[in-house]
Amino acid sequence: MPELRLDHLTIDYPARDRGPAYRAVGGVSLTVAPGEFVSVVGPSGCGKTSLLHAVAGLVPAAAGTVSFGGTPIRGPGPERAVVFQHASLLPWRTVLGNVAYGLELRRVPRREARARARAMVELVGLGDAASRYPHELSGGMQQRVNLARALAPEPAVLLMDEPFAALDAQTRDAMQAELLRIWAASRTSVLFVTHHIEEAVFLGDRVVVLSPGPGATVRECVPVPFDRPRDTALRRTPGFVALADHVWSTLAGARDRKAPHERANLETR
Amino acid sequence: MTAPPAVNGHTVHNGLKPGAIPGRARVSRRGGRIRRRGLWLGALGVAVTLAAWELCAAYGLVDQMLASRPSQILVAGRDYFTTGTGRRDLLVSGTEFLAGFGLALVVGLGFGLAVGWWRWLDQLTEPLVSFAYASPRIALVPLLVVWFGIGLGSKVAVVFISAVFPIVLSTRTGVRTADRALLTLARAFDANRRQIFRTVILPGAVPSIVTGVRLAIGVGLVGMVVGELIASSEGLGYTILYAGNTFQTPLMFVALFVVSGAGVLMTAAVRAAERRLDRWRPDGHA
Ligand SMILES: Nc1ncnc2c1ncn2[C@@H]1O[C@H](COP(=O)(O)OP(=O)(O)O)[C@@H](O)[C@H]1O
Ligand SMILES: [Mg+2]
Repeated sequence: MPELRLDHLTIDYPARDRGPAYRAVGGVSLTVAPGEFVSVVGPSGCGKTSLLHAVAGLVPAAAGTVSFGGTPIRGPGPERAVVFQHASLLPWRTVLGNVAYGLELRRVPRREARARARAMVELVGLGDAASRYPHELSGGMQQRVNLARALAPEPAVLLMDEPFAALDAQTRDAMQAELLRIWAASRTSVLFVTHHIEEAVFLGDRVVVLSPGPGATVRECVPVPFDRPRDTALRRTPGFVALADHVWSTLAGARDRKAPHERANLETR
Repeated sequence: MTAPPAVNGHTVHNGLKPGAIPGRARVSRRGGRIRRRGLWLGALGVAVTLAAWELCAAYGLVDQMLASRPSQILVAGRDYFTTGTGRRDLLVSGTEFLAGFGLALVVGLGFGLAVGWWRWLDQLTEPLVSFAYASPRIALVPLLVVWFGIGLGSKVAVVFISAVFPIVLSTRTGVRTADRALLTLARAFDANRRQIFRTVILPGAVPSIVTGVRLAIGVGLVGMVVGELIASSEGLGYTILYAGNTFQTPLMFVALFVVSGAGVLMTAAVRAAERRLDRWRPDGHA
């Protein structure tokens, strides 16, 4: 089974005025196994979007490689799909038209594209809103469309860039649970980037903690032991709180990196 | 799931039909009412102005010879289109305008899209376009007459050079201001340049293009009239000049109003087309 592998991935942005290039990401290595959900957490501006865009093939790697199933990635490809931070819906297309967009670009016959888009719209719970335009949708609904559009071409890996960051806390919680349900139904792997610690822990099989930029690297890779399916009540268990706390202290660069996550393991068993 | 129940809650609360989208229904219904009120108020404004004009002329407050009056204009208008040259003028001027404007539309859209899309072409032509746009092109009419003669050709050319620039510039702007997030999206789906142009650039440029077309109608009509004023022996512009020179003030106003009316009608048609094309835009745009 193909896995997604980042090997010492480094991303530079050329500086203006002949200065040195700005190193956004400085050698990140990680793998995403088939069907795995990997959260990447890091402070705002540390290079999460850059990292994700490099995996998507939208931004070149200055050094290191991204490969899928052993084949190096040089540009966008059908095995990956991006869920953007801002929903980026085509405002002149309906929900259904937006979800069918990726299929149309891949030259899936129109009738089949519509049918698959329709199924995706149902899957994300927007069946009643299929003929609405984006400006008639709430932020949460727009992100559902964003997700459905990415899933429609059945990618092997879903790349998600803080898709719930702009939502209110309640909608955000609901969307996280929805995402887990939809992911379970689709069985793609997910690389999910966020600055929100609780979100990273709640969703992921593992949480990759990045250091702040410039030159972000992996600080630690924290396994998340909680059983699936997970529901919202999990967030209030002591084990969850302890693990989130551990991620927080890793992120903050604290020295103390011992007990909490072992304790989390014990308490959930 | 949170959203559909909220929608249903609204639906019940507002007493709308099930399945109706409350936001859209409410907004567009109020929009319709405001539009209708606008029509009434506009008609009222016109009626009051005409009445005041008529009364001022009737009581000798203004010289009828110079200012005419609506009732006379009405009579002159009837004569113009029955026994006079009205229908012929309309045909002549209409042909000039439609030919010049059609040409401007085709060339303006094509060129505007091209310079919006190919940076080098824009850089190559930008100084020329800016210079031509800033110059008083209407002053070229005598030269155009030398080139194209006193007939249809020179007037088509005037309408063309008047109308083509707003279309080029607004089309270029529409292409240039394409939403970057949507371009990134299309790239992430591995879209080729043609697909990007067709699915992102072109639909995104429509509002800007429509604005340019509306502007072009106005300046195109001015071009048509000025062309006829300078060099013609028929047409609405010629009649305006001829009637003015022979102190037929009512006839002059008739020809003038026909031009203005045509402008208003065409602009309204573009607006109507725009509303159909732009169903996706949030309500309340101009
Ligand atoms: N196109 C770009 N050109 C130059 N610098 C960029 C560009 N995109 C991002 N950066 C810089 O790279 C760093 C990381 O940005 P980003 O990947 O967006 O971070 P995050 O998504 O974690 O907030 C920031 O300091 C940002 O200013
Ligand atoms: Mg970001």
